[in-house]
Amino acid sequence: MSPVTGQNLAQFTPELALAGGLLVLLIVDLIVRKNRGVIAAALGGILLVALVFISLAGNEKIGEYLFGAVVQDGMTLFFRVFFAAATLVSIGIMASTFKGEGEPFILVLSSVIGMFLLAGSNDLITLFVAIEMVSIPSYVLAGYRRKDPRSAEAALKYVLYGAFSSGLMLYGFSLLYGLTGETGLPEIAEGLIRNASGSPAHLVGIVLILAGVGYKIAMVPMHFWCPDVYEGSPTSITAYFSVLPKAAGFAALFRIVPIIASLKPVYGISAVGLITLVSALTMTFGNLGAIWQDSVKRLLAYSSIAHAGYILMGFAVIVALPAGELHNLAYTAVLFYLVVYLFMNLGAFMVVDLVERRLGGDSIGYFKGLGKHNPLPALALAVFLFSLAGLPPLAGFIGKFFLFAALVKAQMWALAIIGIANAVVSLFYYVRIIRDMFLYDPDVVPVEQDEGGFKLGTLTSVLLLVTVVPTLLLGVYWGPLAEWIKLRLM
Amino acid sequence: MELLSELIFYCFVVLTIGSAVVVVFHPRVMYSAFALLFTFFGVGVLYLYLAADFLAASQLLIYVGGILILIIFGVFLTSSIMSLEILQETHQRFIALIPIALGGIVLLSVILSTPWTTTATTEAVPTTKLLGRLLLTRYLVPFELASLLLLAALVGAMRLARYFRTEE
Repeated sequence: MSPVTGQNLAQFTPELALAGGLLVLLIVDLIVRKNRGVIAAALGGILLVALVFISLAGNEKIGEYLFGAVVQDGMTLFFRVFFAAATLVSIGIMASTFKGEGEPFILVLSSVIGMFLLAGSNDLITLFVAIEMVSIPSYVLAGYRRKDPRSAEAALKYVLYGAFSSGLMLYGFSLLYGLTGETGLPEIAEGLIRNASGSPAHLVGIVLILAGVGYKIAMVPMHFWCPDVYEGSPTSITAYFSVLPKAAGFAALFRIVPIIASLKPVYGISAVGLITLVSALTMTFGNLGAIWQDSVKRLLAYSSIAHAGYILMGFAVIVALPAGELHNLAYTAVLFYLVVYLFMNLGAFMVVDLVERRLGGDSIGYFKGLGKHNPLPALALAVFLFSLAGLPPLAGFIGKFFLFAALVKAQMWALAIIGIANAVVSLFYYVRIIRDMFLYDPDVVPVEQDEGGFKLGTLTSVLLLVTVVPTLLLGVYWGPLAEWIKLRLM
Repeated sequence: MELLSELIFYCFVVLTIGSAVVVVFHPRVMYSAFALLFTFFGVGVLYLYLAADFLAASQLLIYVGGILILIIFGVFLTSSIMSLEILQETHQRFIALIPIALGGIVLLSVILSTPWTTTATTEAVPTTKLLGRLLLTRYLVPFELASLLLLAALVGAMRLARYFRTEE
């Protein structure tokens, strides 16, 4: 137990700064009349840049804080930097869609507070409130274009599935609480190991919690909402959905690793077996679903389900080996993959957003011949898609390589083989878009065509650079980032 | 005395579950809203049986006195709600029954077979002081976070409601 002191609160500078910034943003949004979105994005951007630096410099005092409700360790520090950087890029993408509205940025920032605390939550109650803090603003964001029936449908689907999965998760929490009489995560893990780690209630509790958190990361069988919500939401918001709440879901999963790992097999069902199964199902469903899609947004939605499956492979190793060198290796692989996924997926959605805004749609026909009339965005999209498929020498390849290396070292061959087969299948639908962009003539000719393609604003150009460069660079020079992550985990 | 207490307990269980069934299955919104009153009340009584006096009181004040009244007002202010029949067809009833039955059996057997951690409280003591202390110590972070969550929800709700007006 550590009480609230100035020194204690200093550990939470990023969270406090975010909360303070949010309030300032709300007030500024009330005062200004014009360009509310641009101003909100700029203020939010400045705050997030500061947060990246504060979090990077983060005083690495590891331990439980504020009466044990939150914990600060390497993972908290990693996710702080990750969330701040990812939100920065997302806000940039949103700024071109929402020039006159400040609310989307306020909602995104309030979600991010939830994510920061989720990454550090050390208690079931903190975990739950933080997850809801991530989810509830997202429901509003999904339905932001009220005039568009697809957007309204997306919001409704999101909220209904979200409420259902929250209910499942809470039921799981209640089972764990009933078994141990504790709400603190480390205490629950201890209690479970001490008396009940082979009991059916433990297994059912974990399955229910996995269902609740799995909803956030679109894990099969909790993935049904994902394509519809991604398709219906405004594209720049879909970009945000595809990375941030998903990574937040993974942060929550990492927090409950000790609870999952403490499960002894019940009727032959082990925790590792369970996660191996959902991982294999998730990537296979995602990839098979993506093949048939005509809308590129839906295609990327299915692809993001598949990527959650890949990351779950690493998670299976983490659960199988709760400590040791291989555990850390798998952890590094998963976090590295999240960073790579952040750049390539945000980048891909950004180009889709660009095409949708300029040409009027996101079905694959709009991408035909994009390479001829708009070589730059098309080239960038090709880089992102090749990286998502995991081809060398791009970042996606190194990310997958780390994951498979961890699996092979842990001798989980079956899952590794399923993963590789999936990576091959995924190549098919990614390459189809690239082929359409470069080898076919355009179906739709852009209306306001400038010399050499769309006029890319300064912001869009900068954001394209910010996403393309890491996708290329991390494919050939990954050492420092992998090392930095490893150091955080020590 | 013991028997009487148990009898009353089961009466309230029946009230809670029975009214909850009405909430879900009644075709008219108004009736569902009123049935919800009894569900909330019944849950409040169940809290009392758990010696959670403060929780029971706030359940009555917030859910019965506040949220339910709001729901009923909402129903009143929505035009032609009294005659509105909600679409309540169930599709694939029998296929749905299988996972529900399976889930129910699994949950029931788990609940019945597990040695739960219990606390031996014999005397009901006021919990307010303890709760207040916990909210400002152990659960300070979620408590404060909840206030930010409400703020965000408020912003979101305003945004959705306001645009509804300007669009029409």
